[in-house]
Amino acid sequence: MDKNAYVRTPYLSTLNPVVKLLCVVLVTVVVSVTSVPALPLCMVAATFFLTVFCGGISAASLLKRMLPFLGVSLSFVVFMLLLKGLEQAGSDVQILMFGYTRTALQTILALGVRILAISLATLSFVITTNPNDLVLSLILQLRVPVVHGYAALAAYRFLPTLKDEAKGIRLAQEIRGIEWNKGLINRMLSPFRLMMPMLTLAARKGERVALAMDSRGLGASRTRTFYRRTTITRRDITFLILVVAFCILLILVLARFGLFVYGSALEAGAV
Amino acid sequence: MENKWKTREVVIIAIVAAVIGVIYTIMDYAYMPLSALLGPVFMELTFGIYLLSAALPAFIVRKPGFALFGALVTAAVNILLGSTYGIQVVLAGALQAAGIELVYAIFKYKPNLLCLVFSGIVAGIFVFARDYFVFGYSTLSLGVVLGMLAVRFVSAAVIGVLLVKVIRAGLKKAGVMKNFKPIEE
Amino acid sequence: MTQYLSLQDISFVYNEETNPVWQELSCSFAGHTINLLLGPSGCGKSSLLHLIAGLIPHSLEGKLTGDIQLNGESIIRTEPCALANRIGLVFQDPDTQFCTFYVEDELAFGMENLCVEPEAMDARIDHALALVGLQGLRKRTVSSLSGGQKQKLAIACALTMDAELLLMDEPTAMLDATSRKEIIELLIRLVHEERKTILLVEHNLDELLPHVGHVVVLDRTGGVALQGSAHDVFSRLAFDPEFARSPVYLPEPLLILRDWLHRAPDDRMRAFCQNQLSVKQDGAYTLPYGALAALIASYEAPVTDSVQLSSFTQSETSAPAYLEARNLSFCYPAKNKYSGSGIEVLKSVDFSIRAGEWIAIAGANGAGKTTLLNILFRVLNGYVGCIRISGAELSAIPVQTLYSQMGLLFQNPEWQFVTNCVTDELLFSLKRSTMSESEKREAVDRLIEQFHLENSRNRSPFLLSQGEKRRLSVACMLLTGQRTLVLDEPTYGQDSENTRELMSLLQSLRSEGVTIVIVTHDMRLVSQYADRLLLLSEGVIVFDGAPATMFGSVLNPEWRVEHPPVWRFSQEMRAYLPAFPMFLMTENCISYLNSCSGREALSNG
Repeated sequence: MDKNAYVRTPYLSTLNPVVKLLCVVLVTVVVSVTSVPALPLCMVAATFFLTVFCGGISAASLLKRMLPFLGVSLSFVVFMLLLKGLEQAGSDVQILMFGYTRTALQTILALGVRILAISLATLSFVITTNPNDLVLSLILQLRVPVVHGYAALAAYRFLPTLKDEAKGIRLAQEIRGIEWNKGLINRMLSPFRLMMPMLTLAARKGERVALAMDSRGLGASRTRTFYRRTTITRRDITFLILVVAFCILLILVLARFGLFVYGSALEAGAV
Repeated sequence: MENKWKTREVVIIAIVAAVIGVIYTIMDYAYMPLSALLGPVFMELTFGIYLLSAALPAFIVRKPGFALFGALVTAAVNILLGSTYGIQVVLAGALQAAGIELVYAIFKYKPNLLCLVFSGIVAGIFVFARDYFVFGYSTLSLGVVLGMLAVRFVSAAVIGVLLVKVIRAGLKKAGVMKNFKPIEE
Repeated sequence: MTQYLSLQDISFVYNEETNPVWQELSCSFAGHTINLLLGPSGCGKSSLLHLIAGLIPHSLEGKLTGDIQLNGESIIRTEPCALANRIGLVFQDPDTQFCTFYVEDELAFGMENLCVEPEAMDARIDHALALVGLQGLRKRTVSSLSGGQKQKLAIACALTMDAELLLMDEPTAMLDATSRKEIIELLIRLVHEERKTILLVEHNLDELLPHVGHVVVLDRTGGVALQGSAHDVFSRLAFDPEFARSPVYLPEPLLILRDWLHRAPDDRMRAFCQNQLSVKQDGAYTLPYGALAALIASYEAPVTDSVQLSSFTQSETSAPAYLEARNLSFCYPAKNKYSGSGIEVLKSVDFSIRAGEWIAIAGANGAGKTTLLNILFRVLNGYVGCIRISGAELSAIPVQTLYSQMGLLFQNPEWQFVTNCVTDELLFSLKRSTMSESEKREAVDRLIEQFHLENSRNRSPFLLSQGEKRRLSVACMLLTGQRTLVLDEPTYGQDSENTRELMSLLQSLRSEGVTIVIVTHDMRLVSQYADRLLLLSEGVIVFDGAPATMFGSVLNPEWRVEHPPVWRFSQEMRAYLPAFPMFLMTENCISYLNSCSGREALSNG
């Protein structure tokens, strides 16, 4: 139980999940309106350091978890470069046999960093939020219906079971002679072979859980008490204000240095 | 027609959506080499598969709100299990669901083949809004964009519709579709 | 108080079906005791519990007529949520009755629905946990609990809501023997100390019998076959010739007696039965050991060994070892550098299995059975020591070759279904074979008959009963041609009738040379069918030999193994009749009794 060896819960984990979600959405929006890599880059750095210092995770572990995102980001940039390059629309910069305008290159890089920023913000959210609390705050703060919230919680509770089931079904199918990893076609089809049995079992589980919930009085009264609550405290509001202020500050500072351009530069006619 | 959700439907869709989320995560890993190679084109080809998270709940239950609920749960599970796209999948799921809900509402929640095809296409259009702004498709030329959209629509209309019908038929045969709204065709 | 809960003229048809579940069913249950609901499978026992809790017709729709009275108040129109503070329902599957993540949240869930003040919840949670014996587990996740603990949690949830009537749908079906005993003890405590009323559907009756107060027996047509005090009902089920062929479950001793007394009854036996039936009383049933002893003593007991250990000849084949393990150890790798060297699950295990043998691998949970299976089927790699199959080292055999020789039948048979139709499922196993289409069809038809699956040819495998699913999975393995079958907990969630059928199928396979390995903790199964028992305890094999030899001596309590019911029955009989032999197998006991009454000569000496 090393995970519980913290003396104090990290700051970010004590914040209201809905507030944090709002911040992630904010970051996504802010990062999506610019086509210069500077802003997303600053955002990535800020998120990274915030998570390491206030999120209770070491820089090394965070980097490790970011690796797949870096990979996706990179492949995206490469691909867009290919697509754009085929148009041969510019000649400012030459990469291999493709020519690009300065702005086009800049935009594409910005896109790559943007994806990274969004993924990192989400990762930070996932690391510092307990799904139980998330569902609770959705029900209490965002007025999501109780049934939907607890249904989602039940589904979350089944995740380890579902993973074991997936492994077991795979083994069972292999024993019957289906070769999962041999050849490209098999690899492509394999997730679908899982689908039908797992969906059938899922529907059955769902029916049973629903009956159990009904038998425990769900719907007995319109109002409902809560054993544990999540609330929006001053701390949460402060955090939100800080994040908003940071975003505004960042935009202003970068604009001053000409590193912030609203919208896609290409729309401004600078093809 | 009774259009309010029942506890059973909500819970079943939640767990079905979770399973779809698990399968998407497995797919992310299984298709890794291919998706890195083909990038966004791959996303268009597999659009029909990823449409499932919103399309299947809608087709199974045929009541308002389930496409959205299912899509959100699938997206959340996908993120939790380590998806490489982050909160984007929530947005994509929500937009797909919006498209599907719209078309289903027009068809009064009695989906026939036309409804299925259209809902997939409209979902594709809605998600395109996200792609335009966030993924920067605005930087690409019109020709390329139209091409990708075309692939997306075909994927939604063919794979999407096929998957949804096959899965529902399979679930019905396995006996887990009792007390869901029947198909009036 | 007999009219605590009564059902009057209940008729119900599910929405999309035509056959009614019950037609004009009327019965009643007693308060402050354990009520037992018995009946053949498929007669609607679970549904009756759902009906009482209000789930039928509100959550499971259909057409319902009749009335239900609880303490004089009609509850047939009441929704399940309004009944939750009086009636608690515990389901069969421990896993799928919870919707929250932590134990304390689950306990709070019901109270939240009933609008209990949050301040009052803590005390009720602690009280409920103490009652069921789960103190200290408050902060745990629900998924980390064992099956038995989950069922206790479900009971605790009903207790937090102050339910006075507890409905339980086969709560021990998916549990092992130790957990089962704990649950039954809990039920007894709840009735005697907390004055709860319990309505139970259950097949495992051996430990339950002395504590049941009232019984209702349903018949196949959805009506009541028998109801009354436990004493009266069990007497009739055992001694009334009218019920001699009834498919209802009875505790093992009563099954033995019923078989003996009704097969070829003579005057003495008839008088005995009459005598038993004439005594009418309330309350629990106790076996009339005294009268029984007198009856048996009136016959001339055949001379036989005082301990009857086994009746079949050991297959002392000199066949070479098929599967051999030498010095097998396995250690789960450490999770990170702080946890030390990891957990050693198997320590220097040695065993060998000959072709055609029937081996049972038993042991408490955590003893290493699952790990051994995972190693054998190449799910886990990196074992230390050597495992040889037909002389070849396990790690060197290609996986597909291994799977074509050894088949694994999972605890949940549904995991291996790859199609949505029984016939297709069987045909799938023949995909690689070189037979022609018509030959394949023939083979499939033959197996469908042999395994009693005719009614389900074109149905989805998921719609079959538990027993049928297991048989189907065995049939599929057979068609693939695997010569070794490993079964993981084949009795899980299955009643004894289906288990018997499965076992006899396996016996016929075994006579064709198939090697059978069963991983189980059902000792009855082990003593009845296995040639050899490998008992694992904490990663080491503590016993390797004929099950009879182990039971014949004193058992080490650490092994968590208990004698089969027929042994305990023999023990009780000895108190009244010192010459009564100790039996390990039901068949031996029956044939002994038959030979006593002169029906047949004793088959062995």
